[in-house]
Amino acid sequence: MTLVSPAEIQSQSTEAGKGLFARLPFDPFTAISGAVVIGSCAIVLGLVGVVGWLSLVEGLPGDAGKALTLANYHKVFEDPFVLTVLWNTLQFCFATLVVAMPLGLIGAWLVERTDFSGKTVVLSLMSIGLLIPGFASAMGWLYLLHPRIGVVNTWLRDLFGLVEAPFNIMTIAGMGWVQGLSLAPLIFVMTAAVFRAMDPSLEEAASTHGVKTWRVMMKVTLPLAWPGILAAAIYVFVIGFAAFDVPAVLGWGNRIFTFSTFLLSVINGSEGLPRYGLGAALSAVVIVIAALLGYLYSLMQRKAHRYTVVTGKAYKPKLIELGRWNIAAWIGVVLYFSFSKLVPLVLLVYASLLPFFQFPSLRAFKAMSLSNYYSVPWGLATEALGHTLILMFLTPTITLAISVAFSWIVLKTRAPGRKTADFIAFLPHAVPNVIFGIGALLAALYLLQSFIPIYGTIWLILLVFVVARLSYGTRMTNSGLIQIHKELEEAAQISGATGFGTFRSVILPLLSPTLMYAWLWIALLTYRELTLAVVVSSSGNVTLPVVVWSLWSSGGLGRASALAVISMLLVVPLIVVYWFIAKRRGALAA
Amino acid sequence: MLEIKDLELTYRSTQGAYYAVRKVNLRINRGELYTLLGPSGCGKTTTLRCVAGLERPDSGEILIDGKQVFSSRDGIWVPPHQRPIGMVFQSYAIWPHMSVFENVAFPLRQGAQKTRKEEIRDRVMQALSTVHLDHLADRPAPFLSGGQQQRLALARSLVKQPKILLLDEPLSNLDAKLREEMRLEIRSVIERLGITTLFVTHEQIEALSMSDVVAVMNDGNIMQEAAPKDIYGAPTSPFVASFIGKSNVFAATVVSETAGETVVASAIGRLRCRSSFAVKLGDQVMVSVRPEDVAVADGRTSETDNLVQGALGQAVFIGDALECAVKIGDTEIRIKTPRDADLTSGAPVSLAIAPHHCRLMRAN
Repeated sequence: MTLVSPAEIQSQSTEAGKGLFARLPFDPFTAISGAVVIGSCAIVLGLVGVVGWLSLVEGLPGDAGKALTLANYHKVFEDPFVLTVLWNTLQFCFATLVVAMPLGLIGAWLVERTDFSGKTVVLSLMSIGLLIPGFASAMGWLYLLHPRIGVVNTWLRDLFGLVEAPFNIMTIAGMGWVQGLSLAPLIFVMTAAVFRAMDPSLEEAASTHGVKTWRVMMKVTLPLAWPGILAAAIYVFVIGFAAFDVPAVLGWGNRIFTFSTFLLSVINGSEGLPRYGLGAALSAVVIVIAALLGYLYSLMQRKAHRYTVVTGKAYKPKLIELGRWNIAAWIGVVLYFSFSKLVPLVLLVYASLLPFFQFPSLRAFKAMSLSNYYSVPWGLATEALGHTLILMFLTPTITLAISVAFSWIVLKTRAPGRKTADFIAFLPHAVPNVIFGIGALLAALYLLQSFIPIYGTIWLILLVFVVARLSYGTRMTNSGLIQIHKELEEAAQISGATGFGTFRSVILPLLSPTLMYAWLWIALLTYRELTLAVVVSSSGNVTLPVVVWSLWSSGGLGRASALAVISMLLVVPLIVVYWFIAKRRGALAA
Repeated sequence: MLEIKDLELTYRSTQGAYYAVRKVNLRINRGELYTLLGPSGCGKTTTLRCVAGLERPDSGEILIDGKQVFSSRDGIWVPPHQRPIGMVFQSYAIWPHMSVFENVAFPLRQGAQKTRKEEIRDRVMQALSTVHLDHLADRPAPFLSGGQQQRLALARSLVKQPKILLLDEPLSNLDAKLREEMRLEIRSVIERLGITTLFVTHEQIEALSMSDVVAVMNDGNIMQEAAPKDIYGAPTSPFVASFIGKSNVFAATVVSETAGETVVASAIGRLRCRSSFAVKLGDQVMVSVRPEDVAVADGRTSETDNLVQGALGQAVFIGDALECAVKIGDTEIRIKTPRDADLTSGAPVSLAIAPHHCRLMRAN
């Protein structure tokens, strides 16, 4: 006999706890998670609530009126300019969608449903595409299609002797074009998931009944994918409301505002005093619109789920053979990436080397120098870079810590209200992020300033960034945690591990690949984030993108371009690391 | 020793509440292997998980070695990590990020009192050698075959020298051959260590071949509890009769009752039966007869046997025997005969059934 028989062991005293503590249906680890979840939910709802409250109040911080009033709403709906802005925004969102949808959809279809040979290239460029700041490509497009100095316009004018410039990027349609190009990857990611989750046997059933390939696509594939596609469309529409980079770079100078840019001009007081009440009322209107769209979105998601026949069978659908069309697909892919990223970025670099922008010529090349790079306000830029780096480290770390707490409560406990908590964590996905920025700004100014003075610090930015990434973070940790078999965790409990011990020695190691991937992605998004930072920034807490934007908006196009180029160069190593990790996760293989 | 008293657990969902376990009482003596057998959803796994502390019962009491680990009356709840138990999960739950050694060492490294490094090493290697895995100690756990993972799970559940070992369908993920092998091996390890074991399965062959006591569960209740031989030979309810092995079950009325022998009138005629409970004239009862206990009558049948006339139906060859339907009046019963029996469909046949193979059961 090798083991001592249990009969021989002196009975070890197992403490049968009788106190209140032992009777609690959870352990301290769960209790801490619960507290984190409740706190986070309060913050998310609080930020929205502050917007709602201040939309009913007049006056500046310090002398805000006590009485509730609808005056701000009157201003929103009676000011023709505000209505123009809303109308602009709708047009802008629609144009964005018209551009992004076909591009993303075709990409997703190529990768998931055909034997296209460049899948890894598409997947890599699509995810990296999302990491290139919108303001950088918008700047590039301005240099291309500016009615006066745009390279293409100049060239066409000279070629055909035109008086009028044929293209003008500084319009709603132009903004939609640029924004659409940069949001196509988002449509791609969301619809690719839909195509992947679809049971190929449904399609094969149709083809075995003698239906032609393209008819299968139109009659089976597309109708099945429809709810998912619509959900992606709604999401991109909501993002259009929050988009700041592109409308700001292309429209600010000409006072063509969309929701985000107008909101900033209102609260910045670029025309007189900041009008916080008006900003809050405007935001409240958009919250209502977003809530309606969000409701539609959740309906679509549910429908998409019902259609999804997950078989768990490990067999790949029969791929459509492209044959000669493979080359056409390659040409399409190259064209898309040239237009959306390469050409604008090349122009950005070109512009950054010139004292003033001019058509490429021998004279222009002779004038090239690094003077823009020298004249960047380096003191400010390095300070901003420092802030950005701190945020890059803290945002993903805190977001994921909170996300893990959420997932733990939502998936691993039977806590009351856990479904609601999950819904609240998802809110930042459905509400334009800029609203949370406004909420945080207003909360800091009106409510917190006297006892937690975080206005003007990077902690305010951190707060907003974390809230904005919470929906992505919780989706990632949810799916990571679901994949960990319940019995792995129960086995640890039976083995004597406490709640925290189980988490540390079993859950965390198994979750770490997901966490690492999500961490890097959030860090990279943080690096490029302009919208949220610009809303809550003041002189003391600028980030790198904010400095680029303020150089640009104050007319220093060359210096702004130079700093944009530098900031992109700095992040290249991290993008390479991300690429390798994504590749190892299999995220870049169809 | 494990005792469960009046255990009740209700699941509540939006559709309403339903009993997973209702008023379960059981007692497992020291060193006994006790099996809960039943169809899926009968509450057997829930009962086991209540013992483990992975489910929280609504009411009742659970005692391990006389110490309460749960009592609704006294308000006692000991969380799983403080209970002196070991458990083998259906999925084995081998931690994929640890080596074989680390998996087994894990339970020793938990808890307040520190175990010395050398002692951990010794005890882990002992546990591994008990299941013949000591040569694979340094291998990463995912690189084990199904059978090896199962042994590893067993070693891990034993290393802490628990008072109770819980086995939750541990063999269901193995192929048939390996399953047979592991049945014997688990039984012999448990016997050698003399550990009190609660075993949950839906496979009657596992229950019958491994257990000291089998309890058949249905719908949250224990229907019958007995030694394997008795539960097979003397089922007390139609459910148990047809869940364990095959059984012909039909209704009957008691027509005469003398000491030790009861005669009933049934759809297949008058039968002399054994009854394990008191009956009186006119009682409605059920009779259970196992197919293998019915013989085709030839000259050698004993005169005490019940003789029944019928017509042969279709015979099915199942390898080690022939299974055949016999039509008696409007009723059909199944019989099992030697595989070389010469049976012609439609031919008249005379069947012999010994009285002690006709078990009387209470009608529900």
